[in-house]
Amino acid sequence: MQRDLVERARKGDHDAFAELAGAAISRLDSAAWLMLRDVEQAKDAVQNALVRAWRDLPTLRDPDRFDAWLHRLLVHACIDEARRLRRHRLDVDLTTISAPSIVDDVSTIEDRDRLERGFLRLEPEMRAVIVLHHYLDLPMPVVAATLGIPLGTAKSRLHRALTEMRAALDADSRVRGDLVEGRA
Amino acid sequence: MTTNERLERTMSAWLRDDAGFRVPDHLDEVLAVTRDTRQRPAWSSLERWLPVDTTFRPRLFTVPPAARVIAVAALLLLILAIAILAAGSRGRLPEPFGIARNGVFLTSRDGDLFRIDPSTAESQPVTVGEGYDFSPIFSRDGTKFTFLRSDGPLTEPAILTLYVADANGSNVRALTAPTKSLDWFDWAPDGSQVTYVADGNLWVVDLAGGSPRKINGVGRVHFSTWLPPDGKEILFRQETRSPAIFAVSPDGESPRRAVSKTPASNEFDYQSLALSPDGSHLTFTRWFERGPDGQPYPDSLGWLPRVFSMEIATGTEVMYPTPPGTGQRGTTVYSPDGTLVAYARIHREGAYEIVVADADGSGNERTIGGKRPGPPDGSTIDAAWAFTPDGKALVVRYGNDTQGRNVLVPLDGSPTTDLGSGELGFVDVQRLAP
Repeated sequence: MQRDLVERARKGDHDAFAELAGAAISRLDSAAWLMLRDVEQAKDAVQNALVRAWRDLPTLRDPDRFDAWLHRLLVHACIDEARRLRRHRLDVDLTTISAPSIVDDVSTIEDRDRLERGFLRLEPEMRAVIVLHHYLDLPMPVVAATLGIPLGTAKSRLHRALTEMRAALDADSRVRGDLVEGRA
Repeated sequence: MTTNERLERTMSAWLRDDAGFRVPDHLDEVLAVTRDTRQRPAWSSLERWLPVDTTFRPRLFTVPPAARVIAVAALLLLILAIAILAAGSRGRLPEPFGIARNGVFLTSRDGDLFRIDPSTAESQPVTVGEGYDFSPIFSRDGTKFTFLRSDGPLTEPAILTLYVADANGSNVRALTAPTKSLDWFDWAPDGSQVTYVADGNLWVVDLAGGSPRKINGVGRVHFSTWLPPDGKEILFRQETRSPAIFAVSPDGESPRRAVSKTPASNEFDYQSLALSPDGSHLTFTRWFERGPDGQPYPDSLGWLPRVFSMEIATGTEVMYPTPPGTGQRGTTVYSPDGTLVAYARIHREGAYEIVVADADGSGNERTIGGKRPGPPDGSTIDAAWAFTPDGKALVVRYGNDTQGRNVLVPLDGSPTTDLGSGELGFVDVQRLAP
């Protein structure tokens, strides 16, 4: 079914592309939000990825690789956005990223805040590996292929990302512990 | 559960919860933009998988139509010339590498060496009676062969002597003293030296005479192989908790890490090394806990190896095709011209088959000889194989050390030739200059 849609879209059928985009946009939006932590930037990244997908679709060699190709375009768009956002952040104050709007127990919200702070310290390329592997559930060989890097590099990038996350979380815990005990 | 595993689990849950709040509301906006965007023609990208950023460039001046035709014709001629040059240079591996004629077939059988006529499978003895001889291996130019000899019954660990003889079986002489755990020997490209591993140490022996010399300062070694085509260095796997591939000159000078970009993912990586005839690539195995489908392998170790090719200069890796539920095992061998590799594919139930694949990892492959039964845990492959010098067939030994049958398997699917059976028997084919 999807292959048929991709084939039609490759030949310029915009309705077929609309179906493909409609099926993918929720997943792409979520992944972009997770990588960028900014709603507007995530929307821009998704739009850029989909516009590029439509523009370059006739050059896609294997229709069965549409999803992997789209993920790759999204990751590139997110990395571009993240770099643009980082440049922008030098000039303006950022508004605080809103916490999840659901009622939850305090410790879970705290955990989430800590995870988010740790995650935001990672380079965009490392966030991408984590989102592809831990959110989209792609096996590491597919993550490597999606990012266009050797498998060993993808694995070491994931390992480094987790190590940096853990270090950030540990540092966060120590600071919070100091605050609670009045040492800071 | 390790700290990293706990973190990964927590992070997966957090990502899923967090992503759940996204409700896309901009599909119509996106489609409005794409509707007004022109698609690129299919031919505008040479490599269609990689997005190309710069397709359109400003035109600086207008070229007259006649000049355009001439320019296109000149460009086509240039491309043709480059293609011819590239094809020519690929086929020109220096001697003693590249496609050659098949010569004599040698094998060992129940402790003696035999010469086999491949057309009739009839054999004639080469060495009979003096000790227990096995594992004949021709030098790359086909003028000599080495073999192993045990003076008494084979023991564990074996005490073996490395011998050399001329291709016709004359001029037999010992290269080493009786040695414990002699293993993994390889001829230098010019046939002047042989490297081998004994009890984890790397040794080199000159055929011109003199005692074997131990290469110090390289740790415990396995899979020692001369680096083609000039043989100025020996590549080997250093056996540590984090194994790596090193190179050292045959006189023991200047050991260096040959492949530095990608560290081992565990202590089992970088086994079964093989080098392409031009020395540009090597194949090796890596071990993974999970298959490409993300599911853990159900064998006793919980994982199976995969075969990779790596460009030595850049460290760029390619994994050979691994369908879901399979792994790859056995020493990979290159065809004489370096365009093909052969390795074993293990299936989840333990059966295996020999795969001949394009060496560049592009995915073109065929299986030969059919599926053979193996232990359910995929722990051993009772087979060994090598390309013939003419590159048209594989010589395969199906079986273990004590029982096995040798078969010549043409790559074009024509009928196989039985080359006999016996204990510790494997066939090696003499290379004759083309």
